[in-house]
Amino acid sequence: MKKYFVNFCILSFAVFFLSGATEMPPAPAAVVTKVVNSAQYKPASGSWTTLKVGQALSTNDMVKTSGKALIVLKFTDNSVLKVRENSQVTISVTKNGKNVSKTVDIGKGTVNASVTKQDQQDFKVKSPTLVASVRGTEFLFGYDNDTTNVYLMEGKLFCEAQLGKKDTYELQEGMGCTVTSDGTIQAGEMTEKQKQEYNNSTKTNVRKVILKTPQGDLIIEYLTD
Amino acid sequence: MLRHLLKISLFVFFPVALFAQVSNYISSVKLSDAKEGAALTFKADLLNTNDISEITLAYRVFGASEFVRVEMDIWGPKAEVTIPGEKIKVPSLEYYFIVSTRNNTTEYYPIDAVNQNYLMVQVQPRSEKDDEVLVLSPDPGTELSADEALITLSLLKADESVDKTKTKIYINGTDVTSSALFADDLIILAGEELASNLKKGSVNSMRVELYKEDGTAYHSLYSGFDVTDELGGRVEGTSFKYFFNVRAESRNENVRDNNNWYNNFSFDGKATYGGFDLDASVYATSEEKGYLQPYNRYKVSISNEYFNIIGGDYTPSYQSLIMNGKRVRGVNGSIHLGFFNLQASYGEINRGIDGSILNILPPNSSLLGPNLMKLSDGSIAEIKQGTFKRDVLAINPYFTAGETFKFGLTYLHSKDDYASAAYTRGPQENLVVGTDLALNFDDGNIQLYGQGAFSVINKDIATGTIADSTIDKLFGEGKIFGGSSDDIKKIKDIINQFITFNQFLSPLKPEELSSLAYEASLSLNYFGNYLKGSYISRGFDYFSFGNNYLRTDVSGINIFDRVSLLDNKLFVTLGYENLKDNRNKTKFATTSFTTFNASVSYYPSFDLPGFILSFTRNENNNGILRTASDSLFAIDDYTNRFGAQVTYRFFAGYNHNLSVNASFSGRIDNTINKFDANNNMFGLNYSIEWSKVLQSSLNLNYSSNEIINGLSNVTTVFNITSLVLGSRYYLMDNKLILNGAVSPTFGDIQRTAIDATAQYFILKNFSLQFQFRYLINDAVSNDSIAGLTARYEFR
Repeated sequence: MKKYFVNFCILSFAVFFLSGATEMPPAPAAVVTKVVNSAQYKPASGSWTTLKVGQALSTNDMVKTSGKALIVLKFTDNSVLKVRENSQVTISVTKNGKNVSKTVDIGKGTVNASVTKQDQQDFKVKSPTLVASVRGTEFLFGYDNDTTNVYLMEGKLFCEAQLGKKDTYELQEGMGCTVTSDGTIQAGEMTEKQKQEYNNSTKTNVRKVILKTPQGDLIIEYLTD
Repeated sequence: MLRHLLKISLFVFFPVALFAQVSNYISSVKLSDAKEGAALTFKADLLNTNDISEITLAYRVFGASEFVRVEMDIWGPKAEVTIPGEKIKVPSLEYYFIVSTRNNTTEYYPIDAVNQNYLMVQVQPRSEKDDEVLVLSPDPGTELSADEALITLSLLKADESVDKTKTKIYINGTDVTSSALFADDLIILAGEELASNLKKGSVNSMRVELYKEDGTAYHSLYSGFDVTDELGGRVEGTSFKYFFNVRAESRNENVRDNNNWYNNFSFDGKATYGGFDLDASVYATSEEKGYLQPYNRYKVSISNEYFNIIGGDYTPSYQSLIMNGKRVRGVNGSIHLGFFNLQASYGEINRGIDGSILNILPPNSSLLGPNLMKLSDGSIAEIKQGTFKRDVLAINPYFTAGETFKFGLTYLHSKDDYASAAYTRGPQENLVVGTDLALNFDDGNIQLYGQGAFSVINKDIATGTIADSTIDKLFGEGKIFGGSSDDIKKIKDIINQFITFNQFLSPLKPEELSSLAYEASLSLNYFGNYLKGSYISRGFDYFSFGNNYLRTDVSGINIFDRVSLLDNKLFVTLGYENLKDNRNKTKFATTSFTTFNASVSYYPSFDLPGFILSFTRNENNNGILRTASDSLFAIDDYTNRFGAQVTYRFFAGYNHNLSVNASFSGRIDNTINKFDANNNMFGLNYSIEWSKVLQSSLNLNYSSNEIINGLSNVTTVFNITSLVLGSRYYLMDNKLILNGAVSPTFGDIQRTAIDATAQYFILKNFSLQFQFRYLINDAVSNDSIAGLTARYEFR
């Protein structure tokens, strides 16, 4: 009996450690559906490689864009994240049954998010100076030079500054806010310029104008809806 | 060798027949997937196109007694029309086609539709399980680029019993599962196999089948998306991108010893420039003649987010009482500004065609009769009527608030150009004003819709506006009509600004509202129960040139209730309708039309057979007894109709698709005429996909009709059996596609049709197709049709 018990313990330990050794990679939680110009991808444990359409992304994976670049990625609950030019983003996802909690960590740059209504409670966007808990469905979130700017087009957004005074504020539809490194949140109605900035951030289709000159072709690229 | 022989024998004996019945004008009909809430497209392959002037689709959803008619677009040997998704309801839809010929005759398809033997398509329900498959890309309503073909699905919401790894994906009917990447909830499809199965420039279908862990079927989702070919041309130095395809056909038809050549050409092009989309299409045919309604079609459109302008042939959609299913050749435009929107159409709905003189009658002959006319030299002639050019102007400003609220006003004015057709009588003018209101609450679970319209028609504007002197002669003290001639002149001046004012204006008494039409409906969708009640009322004088097919002089209620049970697998439907004519008491008896419908439809998982059992009873009665003195005018009959349909798609070594339907109806006439009738119909459609390159089908239809004249005790019997055996075979790595079919018809119409088609792709974007049809007729000479078609796609 004792011999059986010892064998069972050895087997249990072996299973425990072997199962740890062969731990499955995290399940993909998003897929890249569009890449414009140069963008890169870094898995949680790996190095930067060129990002291609159809790439599945798992938790802690990172993507980054250079100038004039754009990434559109979709989470498995159909929420959409558009990563604009000169941005770097890490996604973290926790699956709980048929729901996924999503956190988008912005190292730098700007994202535009469109969140499915039923899952909006489980979507957070972070920068070093702000955590925004999504109660809305359409917003623009940008971080640069220790300052975070948020423009909300639809729904509500609960903002918590991460540094200094750690202000909190609930943004309403049509409002924008600026969060600085001292932890203050300055909120107000979106200006026309900010609305235009938001509208531009939703555009994902690239159009080109090629100007033929004696010195060569001048290519102008721009984004449309 | 044996396999090869098997393929050849299958090719010879079984072809592609989608759905075919005996007809002089329609050889086969194809339908897209019939699913509740999804647009349904009907395509008909035509014969003897030289004789066809118009084809109309008549359809009705289960529970409705009135058929809705929509004119089909004719493009060479094909006719096509799409019914909007909101009209498509579970469990079924009945339909038939009306072919109007240039000799002013009418033929139905199926040929015995006149005996209430209609075609029926089973409508699949929209299941809550559809939401368990999230299509991440392509986005709904967007186009998939053929260059960057990517389809991604998420099964995050799939039921726990689903084994995600067993999921199968079909693109345009081809199983592409082997090329899919499965990653937990994600399924990613990309690469060459996906791209090679996409149809560029058209709607593609996707079917996703989910299975449980034990391998049994769980659910299947159907979805459609457009695919664009990004490999178009570009004007250097600009963002102007374009692509197009052209098709040219030359066809010879030898029908009843009449030999005719037809040549036609079509062009379809799309272009984008900045935020603007441009579309152009042209169809030109040798069948176009100045003495016929137009056969050529052309359309150019430009649109962006806020507006849309279309020049050429277009079928606009306004509130259904006023303008629906009518092609306009002219300019159509719309502006979308969010809360305020506007659409307008201006153009021609009939071409002016001269009539002709048949006979010069003796002097002083009567002018009474629609085909008699006084000529400019004073002589009286019997004429063959032509058609006046008929112009139409429609304007519809409307206001919307999301999907919750819509309120619109519609104005339509249409007038015949008297100078556009010689030897033609009775130019007319029509004015209709209307309004509609739609309210949707609770995500569309409560829908309220109402519309009303008032029409004025002038049935002869040849003499123009009535003269003041004539009014003075007719109105005033001691004159024929009494009253005040000054008042009549004032009324004339007001009305004349909108429509020609003379004695042919109708309604004569607007206060009786005989030209008012209105309808309202309320639908509630809760607890798996869809309940809709509607009321319609249309006066006998109501008439809109924008919708000639509307049934008038009718009013009454329609109640429809559909209960879904067993997780949307079982539907029980009940319908009751009671309509009456004689709304304005202009007839001496009022006829009541009562219809009761009941059906049970069962849609188990997609790999098991689904069926519909239905019963319909129609009763018509005008209350005149058979013993009354005016019993000849009595209407007192009822018809009972039983129907059954089974559809089954299964895999037994190969993919099989089977559909069997039968209906039996009996009409009892209780009047002294005793016109009883019995109709029985049986249909079988069976197709097999032997491999990716070989498909075959069998189609059998049997129809038995018996009309009994109780007075003379004579029974007329009309029986038809038609069989279609067809197959499609892809050879030479899909460069050569062969189609063949043999279709014998037995019974009271006897003939055999033999069809063969070969399409060869010389280049990936350039193909030639040879088509041949031979009809072996009974008693008359045989017919033949042969044609060659070239297709080129610019890329």
